[in-house]
Amino acid sequence: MRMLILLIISPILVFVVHMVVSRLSRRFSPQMDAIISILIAQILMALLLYYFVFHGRPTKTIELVSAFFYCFIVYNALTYTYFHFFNISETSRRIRTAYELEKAGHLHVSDIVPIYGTPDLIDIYIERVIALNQLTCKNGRYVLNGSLFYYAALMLKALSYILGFQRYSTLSKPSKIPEV
Amino acid sequence: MSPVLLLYGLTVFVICLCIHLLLWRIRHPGNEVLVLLLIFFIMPLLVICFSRFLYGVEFLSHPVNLATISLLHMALSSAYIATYPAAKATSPTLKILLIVASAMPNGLTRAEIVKHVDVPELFSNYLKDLECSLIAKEGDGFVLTWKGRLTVSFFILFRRMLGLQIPTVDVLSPHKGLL
Repeated sequence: MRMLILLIISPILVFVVHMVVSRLSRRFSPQMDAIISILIAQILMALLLYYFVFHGRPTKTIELVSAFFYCFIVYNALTYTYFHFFNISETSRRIRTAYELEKAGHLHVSDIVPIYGTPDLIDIYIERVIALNQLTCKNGRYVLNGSLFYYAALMLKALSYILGFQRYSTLSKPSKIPEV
Repeated sequence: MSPVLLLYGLTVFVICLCIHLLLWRIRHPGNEVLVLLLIFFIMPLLVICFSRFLYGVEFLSHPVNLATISLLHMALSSAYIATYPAAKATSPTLKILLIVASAMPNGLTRAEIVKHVDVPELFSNYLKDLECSLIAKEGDGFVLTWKGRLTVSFFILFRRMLGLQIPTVDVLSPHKGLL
């Protein structure tokens, strides 16, 4: 039972560590701070589980192995969800626009177009991928630099296809500018 | 911890995932969030709770065992539901990566990326995305709904506790975003 309680509170532990890390760290991007916090909290959680659950308890090897996998899966699934939740607050266009609306009260479509519309949008996304070391520019041509996000993109493309969305086509015909 | 509990938890999640995939292949439901909650949270909890009365699975009558299975299933379901929006919507960042990857080893110029990514489509999707439960269209603009106000207040509090501010459009910088 103690193991379950510790695992349930793991997102709270990550949040507390994240509060400290985000205040101390100025070198990394906010997402990297979140990942670092999850890794630090993982070590703390392992120590807590060892001290409160497994220390001094005679357990069969098979039960120890299954408990290890159980804790590993649950902790990583919960903290992955926490990371996504944090990421929504960081990058979600809806939240960002909602925040702008909270400040302004009402926004005209033309207030949003100069920032999110037009080919400038592409530059924002390209620079974002370069900042994450996944893309690099060589002689005016963009080439892949890392593979982590590429594999993530492939997995999402496969999931999108299985779910019947099929929106991750690699080549698409340009459509007309929507009327705003 | 018995490995059977681990297997039970994983099996419950896989069954729910299969039901979800099957339903989505047949037809995308109107209220996706509600159906996802029903498939991944409400239905399995009912099944797990009622399975204690089944003959031959006595160990499920123990509340700790039930909680162990439920926690594993809930954790995996939460992680899947967190990923789901990225599979549903077109992530421009990932789309750019796929397009550049398909043109390797030569890569693509900016103009070629613009041609293939289809900015108008992205912008059109963005405008559609805006009209959600948080933001409502009013005349030729947008206003915040009460759900939107509540969400924004929550995120402001969450980020303030982390010592961060909501990244606004005027401070939009490349390193700020992940997807």
